[in-house]
Amino acid sequence: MSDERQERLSERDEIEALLPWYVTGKLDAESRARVERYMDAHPEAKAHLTLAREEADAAIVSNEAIAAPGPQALDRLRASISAAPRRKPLTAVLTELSDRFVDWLAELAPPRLALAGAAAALIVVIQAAAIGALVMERISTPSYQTAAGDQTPEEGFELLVQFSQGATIGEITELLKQLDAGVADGPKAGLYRLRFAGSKAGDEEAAIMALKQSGIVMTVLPGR
Amino acid sequence: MHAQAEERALMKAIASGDAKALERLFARTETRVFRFLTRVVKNEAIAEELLNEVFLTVWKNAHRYEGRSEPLTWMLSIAHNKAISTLRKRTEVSGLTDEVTSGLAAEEDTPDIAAEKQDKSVKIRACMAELSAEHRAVLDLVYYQEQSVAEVAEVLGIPEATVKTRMFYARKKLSELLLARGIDRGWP
Repeated sequence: MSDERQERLSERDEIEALLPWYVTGKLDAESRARVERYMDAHPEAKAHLTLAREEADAAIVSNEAIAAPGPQALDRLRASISAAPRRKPLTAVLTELSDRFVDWLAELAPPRLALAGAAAALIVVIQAAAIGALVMERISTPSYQTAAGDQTPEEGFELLVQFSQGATIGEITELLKQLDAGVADGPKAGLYRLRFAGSKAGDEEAAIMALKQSGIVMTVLPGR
Repeated sequence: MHAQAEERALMKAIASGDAKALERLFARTETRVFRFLTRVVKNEAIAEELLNEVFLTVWKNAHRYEGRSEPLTWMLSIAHNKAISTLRKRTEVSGLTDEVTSGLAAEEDTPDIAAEKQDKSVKIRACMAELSAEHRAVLDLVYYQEQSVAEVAEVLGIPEATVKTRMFYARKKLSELLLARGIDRGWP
């Protein structure tokens, strides 16, 4: 922003800049002491604390005037995360594997031997696991974690859907909830890719029929 | 357990794939994040879209949260990036700047609201609404979200010295707007 160029503020202006944090109690001890020293030396500046408090009141009232998002916000988030594949991070997988290995060794041998053995073998295990995980990432069918648990893309089916112009987010969320479906992608060219992860391939016809009869869907196409 | 400690524990659970933990974090923080978004983009429908995107990002990237700041600060940082990105796209499409659109909003006041604006506190709120998105954000982050200088710097992605300078100019601009409405705050 143009007014933020490396312009040095005067002592008075710097104190003015700190007053908002002073009135909210979020100033570090050093800056707080600096503000108080300035106030002691310039008693007239204390009146400016009132300005900052007025600003604080106005900001709080303005924010609290905004209603909280309705319950549909959580439903929508649930639909989004069920359609959002998320891999467990490699580091988490390695930590889990190494923890299991140490536990296993501890059960087999006396404590000292277990620790020494674990220390020596851990490096080998982590290296092997890292290589294995990387190879698996390249060659295997991707599996990922969702709110409903681990799933593979082969389960269920997908449909491409165009919602009608007047469809509200609430109506769409409710429909997806009823059909146990989530948005996997889109919109692309006005089409959303819906995933019916918990359904069987034979349920596809019924899902198409339900979408067409919902009153908020204009087009339904096979997803793949 | 302290509220912030609970939120840190929830972040850890989310990082391990616990969707219920995400829902608990959402329940605790959605209103604050939503209000921050609404104040920046000045549109509740867009703010709802962005709220969903923020928590989806939390879900996908929780393992990247390193605990160097509070979870709320981290989420506000994500929210700020998304809100500013949306404002830029909106400006590119419509050609309207935030300052221009805020002026349009002010013209929609009903006679009742216009009468209410005689009140000083209402005038301060009206003038805050006319500030640029960046100036409004720094005021809200400090006064409503109760973020420290360092936390505001993280949310906005700017140095602490710039945070203080931005705060100074935000307050100065507020005084100028109030002066134009007949309220002389005696500063600057």
